[in-house]
Amino acid sequence: MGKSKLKSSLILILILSIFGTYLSCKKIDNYSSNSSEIYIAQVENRFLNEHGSSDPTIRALINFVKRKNENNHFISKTVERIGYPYWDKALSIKKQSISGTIKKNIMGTSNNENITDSGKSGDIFFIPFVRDEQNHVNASMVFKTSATDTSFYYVCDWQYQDKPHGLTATYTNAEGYAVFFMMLDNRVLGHTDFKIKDLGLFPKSNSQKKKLSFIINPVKEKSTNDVYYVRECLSYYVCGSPDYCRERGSCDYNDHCPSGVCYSDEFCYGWLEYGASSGSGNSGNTGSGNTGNNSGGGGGTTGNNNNNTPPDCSDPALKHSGDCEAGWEPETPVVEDPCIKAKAASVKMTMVFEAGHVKDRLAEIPNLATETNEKGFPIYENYIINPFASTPRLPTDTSTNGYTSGNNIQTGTDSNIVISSSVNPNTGALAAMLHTHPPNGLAAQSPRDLYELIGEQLSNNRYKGSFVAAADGSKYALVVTNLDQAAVFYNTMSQNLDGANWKKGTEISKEFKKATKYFEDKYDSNPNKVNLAYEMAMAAVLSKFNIGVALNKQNVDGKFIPVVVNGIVDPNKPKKIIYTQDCL
Amino acid sequence: MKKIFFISALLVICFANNTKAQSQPVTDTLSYLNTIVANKASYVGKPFSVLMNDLQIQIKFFFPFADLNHDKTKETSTEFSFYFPPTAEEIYLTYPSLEITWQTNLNATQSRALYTQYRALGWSNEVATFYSSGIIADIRVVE
Repeated sequence: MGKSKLKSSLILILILSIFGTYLSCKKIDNYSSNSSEIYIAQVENRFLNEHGSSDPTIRALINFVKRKNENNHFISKTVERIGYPYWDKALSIKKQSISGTIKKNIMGTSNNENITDSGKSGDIFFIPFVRDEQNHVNASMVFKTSATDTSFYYVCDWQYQDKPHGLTATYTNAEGYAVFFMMLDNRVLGHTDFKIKDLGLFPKSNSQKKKLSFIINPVKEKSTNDVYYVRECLSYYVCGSPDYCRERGSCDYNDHCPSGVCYSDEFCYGWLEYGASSGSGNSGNTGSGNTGNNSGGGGGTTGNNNNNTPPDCSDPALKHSGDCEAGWEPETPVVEDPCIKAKAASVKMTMVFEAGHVKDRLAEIPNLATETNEKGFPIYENYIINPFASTPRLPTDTSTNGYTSGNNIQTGTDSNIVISSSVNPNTGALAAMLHTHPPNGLAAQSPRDLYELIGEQLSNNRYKGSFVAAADGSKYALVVTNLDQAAVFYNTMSQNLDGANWKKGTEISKEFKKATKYFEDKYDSNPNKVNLAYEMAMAAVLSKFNIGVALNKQNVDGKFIPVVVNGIVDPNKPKKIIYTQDCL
Repeated sequence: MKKIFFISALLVICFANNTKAQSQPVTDTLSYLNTIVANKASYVGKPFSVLMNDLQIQIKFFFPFADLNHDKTKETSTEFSFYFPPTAEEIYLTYPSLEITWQTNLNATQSRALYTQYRALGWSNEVATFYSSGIIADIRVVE
C-alpha cells in the first residue's frame, strides 16, 4: 500500500469515526430528552389524578392547576420538593352566603382569635402534600378563590422556624403554624400524637421532652347571633413528660402531668362573619387585588414566587436561617396501609421502566427466552443540581429529570450476576438495576435478590427498586416500601440465606415451602404453575415477615401491579392458613 | 424332631413379630414420624425404598420441592404425607409429613408430571417407583 493510499484511508477512517460519534451522541440526546418528557408526563399525571376528589370545586382547582402547568410545567419541580397532593383530603374554609356580611377568615385559639388576611374574602382550600418516602404532611398548596379570581401559593412545614414563638397557638406564630400542619397530618394520615423535636416550640411547657396530642376530633361550632362563626376547633394538650405519664398508664395532662409541664389548648380555624347589622367598618368583598386575573402563585404569606413552585428552603432569597425540617414528627405512626405503599411503589417502578426506556434496552438482549446466563444493566436517574446549592449538596437538593438505561449490558453466570454501574454524582444516581432470569431459573426475584435490593437501598437513598425480566416473559419489580422494616430484616441475611436461596430449616424457609405447596397445587393445571406459585409464595413471606418490601409484576398494559399475599389463620381451623391476594 | 422344633419356633417368633406390628397401629403420626427421624442414621445414604418398606403407615400424598432458585428442574427434596387432600384447601391436613432431602437431586420435571398425572389419587405405584431409587441425604418432620 502506497503512502498516499494509507493517508487517504486514515482520513476516511477519521471522517467515519467523527460521523459515527455524532450519530451516537445524537441518539443519546434524543433518548435522554424523550426520557425526560416521559418522566414529566407521568409525574404530572399522578399529581393531577392520584388521590383525586369528586368535589366539583376541587375538580375545578385541579383543572386550574392543569392549565397553569401547561405554560411552565411546574408540577415535576413541585413534586421533587414536597411530594404529591391529597386532593381528596382538601381542607375547605368556605365563606357563608349571607349577603351584606363582612367575612374574615380566622385562625387561632378560641380565646385569642387571630385574624389573618383581614378584609380579604373568598374561599380558601388547603391541599396537603406528602412525599413518597415519608409518612407525614410536609406542605400545603393554598388556593384562594373568589367570584373573579383564583390564586395559589404554598406553605411548608419548615417555615414555622421563621415565625415568632407564642404561648398560645395562633396562625401567625410558630406554634399555631405547627398545630395547623399537625391537623393536616391528622386529616390525611390519622396521626394524633406528635413528638415535639424542637424544644423551642410550645414554650409554655418547659420540659425537655414534649409531646402534642389531639384530644378530640375537630368540631364545628355555629352561632345564629349577629356574629356568626363557622369554624372547626382542635383541642390538644402539650405534655412535657410523656415518660412520666406513660409510667402511670396514661398521658392525660389533667390527671397525671404536673402543671407548668403540661397544658391543654385549642386551635380553631374558619370564618368569622359579622352580621350586616353589627358591621365593623369594612365593607363587602374586597377581593385579592388580582380581580379578573387567574394568576396562580401570587399572593400568600410566605415562600411565594412567580413560577408556581413551592419555596426552596435553600434559596438565599428567602433568608431562611434554620434547617429544612419540621420541629415535630408523628410519635406513634398509625398502621400504614400496605396497599397504599405498594401501589405507590408500583407506580414509581412503572415510571422508571417507561421513562428509562428499559423495554428498549431489554430488547437488545438476544434470545431472552433461551439465554442460559443472567444478563443485566443499571438504570440511572438523571437530575440537575439545585441552582441555589453553593457547595455539593445532598441528593435532596436535586431535581429528577428522567431516567436512562445504562449502555453496557453485562453477563453473569447461570445463577448470578454482579452489575457494575458508573455515574457522575453531580448529574445522576443509580436508580435501579435489571437482570434476567434464564429459563431454568424461577421467574421472580430470589431471596438473594431481595437482600441485595435492601442493601442497595440502605446505601443509596435514590435507589428505586430492582427489576427482573424472566425467560417466560414476565417482569417483576421489587421495591422497599418500609425502610425501617427492611433494615431490620437485612440483619437476618446470614441466618436466612444460603447462596441465592432460603436456608433450609429456617422459619422463613418453612413458611415459604408451605405457601409454595399450596399455590403450586392450586395452579396445578397451569403450565406455568411453578413460576406463579413461586411469586405468590414470595409475596406471602414478604407480608408475613414484615420485610418492608413489595413485589410487583408487570401486567399486559405494561404497568407494574403489586402482588400482595396475606395469610391469616382460619378461626375455625387453627392449622389452616387462608391466603388472600390483596391490593388488586 | 429338633429341626422341626427349630422351624416351629422360628415361625412362632416371626408370627409374634408380625402380630406385634399389626396389633399396634400408628395412632400418633407425629410421634411415629419423630421416631423415624430419630432413627434416620438407618436410612441416610440408602435408597428411599428401604424407608418406604419400613414405614408402618401408608404414603398417600407427595410434593416435590425445587429449592434452587436458579434451577427449578432439580428436585432437592420431597414431602411425603399420610393424608390425601382432595383440594388445595386441604393441603394443611397433609402435616405432619416427612421431608426427604436427596443426596443427588431428582428430576423435578418428571416428578411434577407425575404429580399432575396422579393428583386425583395422591400416590401410585408409578410414583413409588420413581422415588424408590432416590438416595436419602436427610430426613425431617414438617409440622
